[in-house]
Amino acid sequence: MRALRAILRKKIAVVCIAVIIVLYGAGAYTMLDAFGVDIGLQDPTQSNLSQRRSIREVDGTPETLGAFTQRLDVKIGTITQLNPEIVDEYGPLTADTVLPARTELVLSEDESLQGPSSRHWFGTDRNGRDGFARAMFSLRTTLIISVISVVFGNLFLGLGLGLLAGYRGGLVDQIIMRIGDVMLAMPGLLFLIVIVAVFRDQWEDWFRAIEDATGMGWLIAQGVDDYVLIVFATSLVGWAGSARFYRAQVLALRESDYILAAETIGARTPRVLVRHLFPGILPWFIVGFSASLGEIAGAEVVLTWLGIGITPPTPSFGIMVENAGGRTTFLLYPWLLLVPFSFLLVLMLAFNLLGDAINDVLNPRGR
Amino acid sequence: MASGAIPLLIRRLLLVPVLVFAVMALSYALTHAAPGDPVKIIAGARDIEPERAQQIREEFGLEGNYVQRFGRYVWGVVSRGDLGPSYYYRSPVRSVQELLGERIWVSAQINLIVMALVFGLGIPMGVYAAVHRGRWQDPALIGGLKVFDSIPSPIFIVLIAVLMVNGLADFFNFLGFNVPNVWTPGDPASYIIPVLALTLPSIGGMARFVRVSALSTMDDDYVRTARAKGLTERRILYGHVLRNAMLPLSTVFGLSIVGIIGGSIIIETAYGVPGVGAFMFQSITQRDFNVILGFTLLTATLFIVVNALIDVLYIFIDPRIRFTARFS
Repeated sequence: MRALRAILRKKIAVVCIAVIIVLYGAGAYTMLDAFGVDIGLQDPTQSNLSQRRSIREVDGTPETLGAFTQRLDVKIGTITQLNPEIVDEYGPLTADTVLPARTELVLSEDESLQGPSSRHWFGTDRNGRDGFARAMFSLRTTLIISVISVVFGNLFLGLGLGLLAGYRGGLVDQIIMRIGDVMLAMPGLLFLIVIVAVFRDQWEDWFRAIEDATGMGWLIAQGVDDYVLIVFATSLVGWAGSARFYRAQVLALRESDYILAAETIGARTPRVLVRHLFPGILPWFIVGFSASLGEIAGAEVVLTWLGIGITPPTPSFGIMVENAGGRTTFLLYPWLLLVPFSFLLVLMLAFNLLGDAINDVLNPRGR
Repeated sequence: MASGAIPLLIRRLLLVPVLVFAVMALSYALTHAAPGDPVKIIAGARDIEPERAQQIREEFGLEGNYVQRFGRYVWGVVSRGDLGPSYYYRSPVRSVQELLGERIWVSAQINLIVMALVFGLGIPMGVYAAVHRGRWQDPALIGGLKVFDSIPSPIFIVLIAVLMVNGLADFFNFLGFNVPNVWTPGDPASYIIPVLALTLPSIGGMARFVRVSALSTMDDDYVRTARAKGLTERRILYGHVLRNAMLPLSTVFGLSIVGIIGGSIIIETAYGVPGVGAFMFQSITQRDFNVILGFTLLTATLFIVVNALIDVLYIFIDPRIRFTARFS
C-alpha cells in the first residue's frame, strides 16, 4: 500500500486518474440510457423504425449482411438506387424488408454536417447526429470493451496463469509459458487482425443462434456480438505478455520469507496466491492494467477502421474516425475527425502518462 | 569463446524451427479450421454442387482430412517454399508467394527507411533526454513524443496527409516538388507520408527505452569511477555510458520490426501503397485466407529469426549471460 500512496502523491498521476474517471464516467452515464433513464442525449443506435429485423429472417436467403447491403446499395438509411432484379428477387420493398438489422438512420437531414455551434457543441455528422452525443456513446463502447477485456485477458488469464506458472513452477509453468511463447512469437496487431477477420463471418451467425436459443433478441441490435468478438480477440492476444510479466514478478517474490512462513503454517496454493503473492505484485498489476486499457481502446479504433471491429450503428470512435474520411473530407468538415481525435488523444495520453508515473514510483532507477 | 556459450547457442537456435512450426500450426488452425469450409469461401456460395466442390478440392489441394491438409501445406512450405494458391486470384491461379513477392519490395523499402529513422532519431533523442534529466528538456521531449504514439494510426495518417499536402504545400513547392496525396509510382515524394506516419509513433518508444537504459548506466560504479578519474563529461558519455546503454537496445530491434509491419497494414491501406500490408488488408476483405496465412507466417518467421539472431549476438557481446547460463 505504500507504493499506492506514493503514486497518489504524484500530481501527474492524479490528473491522469481524474481524466480517466471523468471519461469513463461519461461512458458509464450513457449506459443508463439502456435502462430507460432519460439522459438528455440521443442514442445513435436508436432509430425511428421500431422493427429491426434481420434480412435473413425475412427472406431466408443465406447471405452475409455486407453482400446484401452492397447489392441493394442501401445508402445509410435512405435507399438511393434500386436494382429492379433485386426488387423481383426480394419482393415488395418496405422499410422492414430492405433495411438490414444494422442500419444507421438519418435522424434529421437539415441538421447534417453542421459545424460546431451553441446547439451542437461538436457539430453534427452526415446523418445529423450530434457529435457530442455520439462521442459520449462511443465512450460507452470504449469503456465496455476495454474494461471487460482487461478484466478477462489481463486479470483472469494473464494474472491468474502468471501467478500459477510462477508459483507452481515445473510442468505447469512449462506448459503455460511455452504456449505463451508461441503466442508472443506472433506479432500482436497482426495476430489480432487475423483472429477478428477469421471469426467475423460466423460470429453473427453464432449470436443469432444464441438469440434464438435464449430469446434475447436485443443482443445483435445492441452490438453485444461485436463487443464479445473484440474482447475475445484482445484477451487471446494479450494474456501471454501479461502472464510472462507477472510470472517474473512472482519468481522474484516466491523466495521471500513471508511466503515461506505462509507455506510453513500450511496455507494451500490458492490462499498463498491470493492473499500473499497478489498483494505483493499489486502495484505492478496497476501498471499493466493501465497500459492494457489504453492499448485495447486503440485496438478497437484500428479494427473498426479496418472494417472488422464494431459495426454500425453501434457507436464507437472507430466508426467516427472511419466516417470522418480522408484528407478532402477533413478540409471540408474538420470537426468530424477532430472530435474523436481529441477524445482519444486525451484518453490514451492519460493511460500512457499514468503508466509512466506508476513505473517511475516503482522503478526509481529510471527517474 | 567461453565454454558456456555453445550449448546455450545450440539450445537457442534449435528453438527457432520449433517456434516456427508451432506458429504455423496455430495460424493454419486459425485460418483454415475456424472459418468453416474453405471450399465454400472459394466458391463464394454456401450451397454448391458436389462435383464443383470436388473440382475445387482437387484444384486447391484440399482433399483429405485436416491433418493431411496441414501436412501437405507444411511439406509444400518446407520443400518448395510454396505458400499455396490464392483463393481470390483464380484466373489464372496465382500462388501466395508470387503475389507477396510482387509487393514486398515497396514495403521493405519503406520499412527499412522507417527503421533507420527510428533508430537514427530515437537514440540521440533518448540520450539527450537522459543527459538533461531533471531539467525541462527531458519531460518536454519525452512527453511530446508520447503525444505521437497516443494517436491511433487511422487518425494520424489523415492529419499527416493534411499537413504535408495542404499545410506545407508552399514549402515543398519552394523545394521544387509536391507531395502527392496518394501513392504515385515512381515519385520519390510519395514515400514522405507513409514514412512519417510510421516513424513518428515509433520514435517515442525508442527514445524512452534509450533514456531509461542510459540513466541506469549513469548510476553505475564504473561511471562514478570515470568521473572520479577526472574524465570530461563528454568522454564519460561517449566512452562509458553510451557503449553500455546500447546493449539492451538490440532487444528492441526485433520488437520494432514487428510494430512497423503491423502499422504498415493500416498506413499502406490508407495511403494506397501497393505493398504487402495493403494486400493483407485487401485479402481480409476478400476472405483470401491463404494469403492471410502466408503473410502471417512470413512476418512471424521474420520475427522469430531476428529475435534468435539477436539473442545469439547477445551471448557473444555480453559475458554476463554466459555466466548466468553456466551457474544457474
